[in-house]
Formats: sequence, C-alpha cells, structure tokens
Amino acid sequence: MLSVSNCRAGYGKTTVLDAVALHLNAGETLAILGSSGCGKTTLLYALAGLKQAWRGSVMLDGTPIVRGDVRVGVILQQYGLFPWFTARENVALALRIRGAAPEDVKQRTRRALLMMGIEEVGDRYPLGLSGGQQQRVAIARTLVTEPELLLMDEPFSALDAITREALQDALRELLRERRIATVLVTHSVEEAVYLGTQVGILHGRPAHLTVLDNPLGSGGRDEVQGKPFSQQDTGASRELRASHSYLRSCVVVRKRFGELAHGPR
Amino acid sequence: MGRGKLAAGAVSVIVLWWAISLIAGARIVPSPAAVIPRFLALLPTVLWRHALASLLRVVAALTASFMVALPLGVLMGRVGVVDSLLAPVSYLLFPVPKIALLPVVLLLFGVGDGAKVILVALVLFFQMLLAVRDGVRDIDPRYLLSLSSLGARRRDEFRYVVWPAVLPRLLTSLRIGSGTALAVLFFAETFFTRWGLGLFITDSWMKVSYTDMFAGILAIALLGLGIFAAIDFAERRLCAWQRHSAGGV
Repeated sequence: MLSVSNCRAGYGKTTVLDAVALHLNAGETLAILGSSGCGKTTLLYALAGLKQAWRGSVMLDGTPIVRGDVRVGVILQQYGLFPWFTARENVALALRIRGAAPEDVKQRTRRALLMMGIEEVGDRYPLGLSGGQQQRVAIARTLVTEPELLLMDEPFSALDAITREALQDALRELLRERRIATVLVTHSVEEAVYLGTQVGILHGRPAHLTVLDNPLGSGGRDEVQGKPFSQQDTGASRELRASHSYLRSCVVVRKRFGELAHGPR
Repeated sequence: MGRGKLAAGAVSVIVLWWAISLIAGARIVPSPAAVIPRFLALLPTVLWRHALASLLRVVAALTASFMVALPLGVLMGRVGVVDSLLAPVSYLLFPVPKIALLPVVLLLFGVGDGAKVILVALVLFFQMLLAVRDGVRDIDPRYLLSLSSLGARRRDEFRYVVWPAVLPRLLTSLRIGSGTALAVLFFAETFFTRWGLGLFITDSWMKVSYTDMFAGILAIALLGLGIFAAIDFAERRLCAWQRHSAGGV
C-alpha cells in the first residue's frame, strides 16, 4: 500500500520536511496533526505527487506516485471546486479528464452524487451550495474515480459543528466500506482521534513525522461512531464508557502532541 | 437586462427625442413619428444592406481581434518573458485613439474592407488582450492544483480553467469595446465605401435628408443594441455561475 521512506521536501532553499517515513495499509486512516505552517500541506502534496520530494520515495503498491496519479484522490483545502462548473460537472470532470465514456461518466457521477446525498443539488453551482454540500461534492468528485489512496487537507475546517460531525460519520463509514487508505491533515486532535486508525504528529523544523497507534483502538472508534461528542452522555453505561475512552484518548494524543511540538513539560 | 427595463428605456429615449424635436424644430430633428415609418420603409430596400455591411465588418473585426488577442493574452498572462516584452508595447499603443490611425491604416492596407476591419479590430484587440492577460494572471493557483490533482495534463488547463476563468472579463471588455468600435466603424465607413451605415448617415446628412439620416442613426443604434444583446446572451449562457453569490475557492 502507501509506503514513504526518508522523504525530504521543501520550497526554494528551505527544507520543510525531513526523514518522513510512514506505512499505510488498505482501510487504514492516518490523521496528521501539526501546528500551523509546520508542513502538513507540503507533506500531503508530496504524497499526492503534486510536489516532487527532494529525497526518498513515495510509493503506492510498490510504484512511485506521480503528479495526477489515477490511483490517488485528493481533497484540497477549501475543496478546490471549480465555480464555473455545476456540482455534477465538477464530479464528472475527473472521469472526463481520464477519458471515460460519456454514458459511464453520467452513470458514475449520478451514483457518486447519490452516495453523498447531493443528487438533488447536482445542477447548482458551488457558490450556490452550503459549505457542507460543497464538501460533499468534493468527496464525491474524489471517490468517483475509485482511488486506492485518499488524501484530504483539513476537509472539515470550514464547517459548523453539526455539519462537521455528520460528514465525519459519513466519511468514516465510506472509508471503512471501501477499504480506502486515507491520509487526513487536520488541526483538531478530536477529529484525528475520531477518524484516524493512526495519528501522525508533524513536529520540529524541518518537520519530522511521528506516528502513533490511535489509543482509542478500532473497537473504541466503533463505539463512538455516530454519537456526536456533545450527545454522548445519554446515560447508557456503554455510551459513557465510549465517551470516556474517547476523551482519554484525546488527552493522551494532545499530551504527546504537546511534548513533540514543544518538548516535555 | 430584462425586457421590461429595455422597453422602459426605449420609451424614455423616444419621449426625450420627441421633446428635442419639438424644441429644435422638426426640420432639424425630425420626430419619431416621421423617422420610424421612414426607417421601416427604408429597411427592406436599402437600409438592410448598409446595416448588413456594417455588421459583417464588426463581426470580422471581432473574430480577427479575438483570434490574436486570446492566445497572446494567455501567453502574456502565463509566461513572464512574453509579458515583459509585450506589456510596454501594448501600454503605449492602448491609449492611442485608433481613429487617428485611419490614414495610416488606409495607406498600409488600401481603401477596401480590410482596412476598415483592421481599424475596428485594433479598438477591440487591446481591450481583449489586456482583459485576457489580467484574467489569466488572476487565476487562483489552487484551481490549477486542483485540476492537476484530478489527473489533468497541462494541455487540459486551458479548457477547464483558463478559458472559463477569463471568459467573463473577455465579454466585459467586448461590451466596453463594442461602443468605441461602432464609433470608429462609423467614421471609417465615410471613406471609400459603397455600403455601410456610416456612409448612409453622412450621405443623408450631405443631402439634407434629415429624416433618412435619423433612420440611419436608428439603424446603427439598433445594431449596437443587437451586439450588446448578443454579448448579454453569451454571458448568460456561458457565465451562468457568475450570477451566484461571490465566495472563495
């Protein structure tokens, strides 16, 4: 699956990332945390082939990832939807670029819009959609090509809490069902613990990546699934336990993040 | 523009015209009641041919300037060296009143239709060139990155990003330029021409046939309106996304 070793990348004479290594299997999600400007987006671009690594290798199933690699789906910060295309055209674009037959494009686009629950707004332009709908279009546009690796750059940062939680649940379900390897860049420890099977922390200058197993574990993540953080105290002991382990995991990750980013306190 | 507003505007112009006619006298400014029937009488006989000649010159000028300005503007917007070579030249030539170049154009290209088309094309060319150049420059690089992440190649960039991004500016430049283009065309058609609204209007003027002259003015006004309507139609069809509220990428 995704295998990165000794990756170095940067801009001009500035090295942003150094000695980054990670390994991700199908169905696993790596949620990457890091302070602002630490190189999270640079790492994502290097994984997507949008930025050439200066050193090291970025491989998917043993072959290097190149710019516009058909095996990789990318959701950029603020979605990267084209305002001049309707939601449907935005989703269809990835297929059209890859030379799919028109009927195939139509069918697959419709399926993707239905899957994300946005078929009825398919003919609207992105500027006429809510933030949550735009994000659903961006996810549909990426998943329509059935990528093996999904890369997401702060996909939920611009959304309100209710929409964010609903989309996080929908995405988790999709990724699990399709067994897509996913790298997710986020500012939120809660989001990283909720979505990631592993949590990566970018720290230092140039940045290094430290990968932890999610302390919540897959069982804990399943228990928390579908229960928004604010509504987990329903009184049922099982839900309370889930809520407790989730909060404890967030504390563990936050503490580790603090130690790596600022040194032990 | 809606039909209701357009009709209200037409009524206002006719009322104003009538008022001026009453004040100045019908011999100098014939009333709409005299001009409109004359216009309708002349249209199927000679006026349509003059109007068609003018329209064809405008369309030819538009096509020629578009064919050159679009690729050149894209190149200037994307390639710094090309821009640094051509921008000073276009900045120097853009403000020159193109009508002043009429003698030069006639000397260089002869007295036929070609010279008139080139003169009008010069008006439109610089407007389009700078609009395309600025439009390309202002494209958010995230759109290109987004396209690239979908597996697009460089050759796809024009079709999916550059063209749709610059089109609104291109049409705006066309709208602004078309008024000046018609003014230049009017003047150019007064020289060495058999057909054209410029000729018809000045010829009627020289013959002191003011009703015919106003019929010609009405024809050129309708021609301008038709060009504006065509640009509006193109904008509605091709830039429908712009009618939605502005927002980020």
